[in-house]
Amino acid sequence: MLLINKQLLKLGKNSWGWIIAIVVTKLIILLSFMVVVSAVSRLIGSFVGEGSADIGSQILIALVSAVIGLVGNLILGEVKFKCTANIRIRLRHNIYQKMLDLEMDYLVKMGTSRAVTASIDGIEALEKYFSEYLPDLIYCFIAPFILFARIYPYSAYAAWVLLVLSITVVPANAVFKKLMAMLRKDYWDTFDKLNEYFLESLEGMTTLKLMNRDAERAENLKTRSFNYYHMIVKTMRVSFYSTILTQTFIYGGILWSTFILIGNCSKGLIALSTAFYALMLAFTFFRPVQDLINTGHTALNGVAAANNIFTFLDLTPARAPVDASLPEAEDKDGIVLDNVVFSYDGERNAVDGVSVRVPRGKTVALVGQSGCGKSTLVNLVMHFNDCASGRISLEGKDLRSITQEDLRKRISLVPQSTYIFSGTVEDNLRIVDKSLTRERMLEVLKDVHLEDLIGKDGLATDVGEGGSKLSGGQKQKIGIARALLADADYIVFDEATSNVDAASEEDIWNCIHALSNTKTLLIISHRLSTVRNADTIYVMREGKVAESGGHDKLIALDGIYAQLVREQDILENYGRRAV
Amino acid sequence: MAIQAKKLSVPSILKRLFGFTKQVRTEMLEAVAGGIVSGLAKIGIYICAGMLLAIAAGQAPGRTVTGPAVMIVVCTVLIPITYYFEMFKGHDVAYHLLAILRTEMFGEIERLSPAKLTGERKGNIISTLMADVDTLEIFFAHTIAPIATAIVCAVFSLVFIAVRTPGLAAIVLPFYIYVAIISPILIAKAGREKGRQYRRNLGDLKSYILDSLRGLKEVLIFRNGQERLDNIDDRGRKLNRLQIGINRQNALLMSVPNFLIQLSRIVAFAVCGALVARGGLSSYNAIVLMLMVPATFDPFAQLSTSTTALIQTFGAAERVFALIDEPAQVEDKGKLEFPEKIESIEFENVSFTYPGTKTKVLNGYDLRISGGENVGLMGESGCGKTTTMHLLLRFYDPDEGVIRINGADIRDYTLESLRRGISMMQQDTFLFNDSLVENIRLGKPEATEEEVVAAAKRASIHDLIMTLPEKYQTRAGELGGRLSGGEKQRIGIARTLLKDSDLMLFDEPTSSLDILNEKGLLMTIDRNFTDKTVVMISHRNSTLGACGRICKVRGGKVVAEE
Repeated sequence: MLLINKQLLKLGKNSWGWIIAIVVTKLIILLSFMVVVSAVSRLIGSFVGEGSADIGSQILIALVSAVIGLVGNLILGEVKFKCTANIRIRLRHNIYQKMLDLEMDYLVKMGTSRAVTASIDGIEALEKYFSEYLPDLIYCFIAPFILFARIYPYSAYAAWVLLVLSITVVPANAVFKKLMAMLRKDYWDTFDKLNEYFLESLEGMTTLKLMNRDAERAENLKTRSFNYYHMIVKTMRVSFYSTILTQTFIYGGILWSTFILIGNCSKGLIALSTAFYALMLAFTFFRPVQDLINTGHTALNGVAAANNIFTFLDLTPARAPVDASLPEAEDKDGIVLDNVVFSYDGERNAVDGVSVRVPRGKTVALVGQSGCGKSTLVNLVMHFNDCASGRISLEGKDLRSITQEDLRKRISLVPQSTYIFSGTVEDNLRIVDKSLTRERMLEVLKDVHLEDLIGKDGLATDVGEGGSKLSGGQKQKIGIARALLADADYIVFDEATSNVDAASEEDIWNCIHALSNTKTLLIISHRLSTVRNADTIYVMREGKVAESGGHDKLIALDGIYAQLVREQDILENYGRRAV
Repeated sequence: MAIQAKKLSVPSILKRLFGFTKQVRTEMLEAVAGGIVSGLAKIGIYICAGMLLAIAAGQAPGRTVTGPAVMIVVCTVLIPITYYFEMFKGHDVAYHLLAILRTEMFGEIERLSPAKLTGERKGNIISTLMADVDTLEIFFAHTIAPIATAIVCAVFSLVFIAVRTPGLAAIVLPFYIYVAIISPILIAKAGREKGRQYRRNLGDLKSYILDSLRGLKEVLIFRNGQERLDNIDDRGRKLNRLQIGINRQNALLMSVPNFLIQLSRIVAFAVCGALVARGGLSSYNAIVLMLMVPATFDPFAQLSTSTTALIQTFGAAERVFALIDEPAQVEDKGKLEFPEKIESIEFENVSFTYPGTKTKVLNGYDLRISGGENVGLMGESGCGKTTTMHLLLRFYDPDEGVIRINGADIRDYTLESLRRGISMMQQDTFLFNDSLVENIRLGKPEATEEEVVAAAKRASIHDLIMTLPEKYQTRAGELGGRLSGGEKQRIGIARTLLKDSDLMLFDEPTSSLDILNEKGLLMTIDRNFTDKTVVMISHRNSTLGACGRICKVRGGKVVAEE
């Protein structure tokens, strides 16, 4: 019934002072209102010769109180802000920190769009919970009693009627609340889906036209929109019954107490001015409750958002915590994978007992068709995941005994699709190290053949949102530039050229081959001709190493590798002719 | 976008806006009537209570309590009932309109695209349009009723007061004007500027977080996390500084009307008291007015949100009407059915300039293709290769010259049969967030499961699909970035294979593929479309190597063939 959530209250523990301040301010505003009304009712009494109130001083009292109310309202905005300012920043910080801890697991456990919604829209919705709902809730426990105490002397009956009704309104409203919350979730889901469908239809319009399916899609959209409309109107009826109920309670209570007070007045039990005053208070009696019901609607979103955020903050990384006491491996030369097993779903092993050695200074290649487990192996080497069994060690040290920080100082990665951050070329290189010099950056850009990109604006060239102004080849070259700048001893290339055009592909492979002279490389590629010169080639198939050795040895073996090489040669020479 | 919003006059906008509401007029009238009656009933309660109080205090000799007592009961009963109408019918209208507006807008966009809705700002246009549709919905559903209620209640109150004491009405009027008109406008204006700034910064923060998440792998690899956290905190603090500004401004603007309502009590007393003392007003009426005046401000409470919506509505309406008024790029007046089998394609002296630009993309363009040929178009970007395809598909018509297929001007074919008869594979294949089977079936709605699988096999994408957990039922959206450019292109090929038209256009099908994927794709195309007429665009020699004939395009002309 009341939207109280332990975790939320804990989160707000530093804001309690401000919440109380909001309540106090609201009470001051209420009191100032009561004084204005009381002064005005005395003045009205003077119409009928009641009392001997000095008109001038009563007017002054009313004016001063009205000004106090004005100031109170002004302060309210300020206090409401203070109440949530820090919570917002802290929560956003914690959410992103959680992402950093979860590493790539966050994609499975939370997903990008949910995480962004949580840290932006969720937090905006949460604000109202602290600055509106909680203060209104507390206020609701105080204000009616103050009003009750003021009305009681004039008519105990009316005071009780108002109090009892205002206390019952909230639970009565809550009878429907559960049902409403359910419906609400339902129709937001459906609404989101409809929105998505609409947006997608617009984005894919050209495709729809080319496939001659646009008219049909329009018809579908119409049907869906109207289905949604009919469904929603049907379910919405319920939520409005609760409105009728609340309104009946409130206006019924006002009517009842009006009759009582007027009856008392006509019997001569109370004076006109008193009756007027009590009436005004009776009319405002339900304000606090009404406000609570209204903010309750917004708070509902806040609580839903909060639940979302808290489930998220409760997530723990699947990786085991760092354990420095794990024993060292005997083989201390480079990266060693020893009988490694890994499964995504606990049923099928994506990597099934793989042993690979990447000795210092050597270049090792992993090849095989898509789905053979190559990329999974990269995630294990980068320690985005723990192996289910077996061990991966770096110069003898088990990966689980090193912090991620330290590991990544030693091993760097060029992913299949390098992510480019919005901003300039310089911004994108500086993520590696804030203190890089311009000379160093320009030098590296030259090494990866990106001079053409930085021709006009230099390092300040804008790369567009998510690198939209760059080609696939340019993006991957930036990925390599980053790896060069990071200056790690080991570099892993995960299909670094599968989405780039032929010219860039050649540039990139030239770079990689030059690097093989100074660094230890682990290269994953589906294009065999690119790894011909590797010291050792591991051929993977269905999660296992099927063959390994140098190019010549594997060709002589005439197994999977040799067959793949033959197939790819045919393909590479396909349709070749001079133009 | 070539579409320019024209300035329209307010009455003409309103007239057209109400044109939308034909289907919902009854519900809308019910909602508005509900709002008005509910507003009047609330004021009525105060009036009746005042009358009853004055009678009870013996200030109205000769008057009986029956009238006001019955009235106050009626008002009390009316409030929940009319409130229900206002809210329920209001929402009914809202969702009904949403359905209508969406459907209509989609129809308009369908009519105009792709010619008038392409280019890099397409995403922008779409989001503006979505926002515009929402704004119109808010206007009909949540703006009209409150404004109508406010107007009717204000008129009623003023008349009621003026009948008893014209002087008080004259004094209350400026209060009404401030609370009902000036204050909402001030709030709308202030909210617009600061709000826009706030939303922009919030949007920036959102993009930053999104960027930092999408690039999380890079952030981790290069140990950039702490810096990202610091930036998120900084941006959050900046946002808070804007927020406090907005809060202060709102507090100021919102508390003034409240103050004026309190002040109205004192003013009402001053006026009534003076009149009663001089005998110009009965104490009965004075009591009624004193109770009633502050309550007459209630209907104005919602106006500030309505005003904001109203201001936005006009801008949104102008953009939406501009879209509706925009003529389609090409006319569909042809009568002929597009041929099943392509015998010849001729571009004869074709010139073309994209609307709104000055450069002639095609200038005296001549191209002849025979049925069954496999032709490559080669040239620098912007030389007119893609335009060739746009003209063939009649996204646009040439300014000069003529395009013939099987001897007939393509404008003589029905647009529907023409687009059915030509398949085009774009640079990027757009996947709908539907199952893969549906994505492939897009090319032929009536295709059986077996046909889809056969097409996927021919496009060499079947094996990959079978490795996915839900195979053909996997939703494309859930794959996210897991499909590479080449794999998506193969799904595009499977789709096109199912569509099975005799003329195939390929627009840079290999631009984001490495050599192995490129050749694989070309082999698939070659194997599957041997008996078709194929036109392929690319700037890469390696891609066009397999074409039977290559035409070089430069400066809007075919300059060489081999």
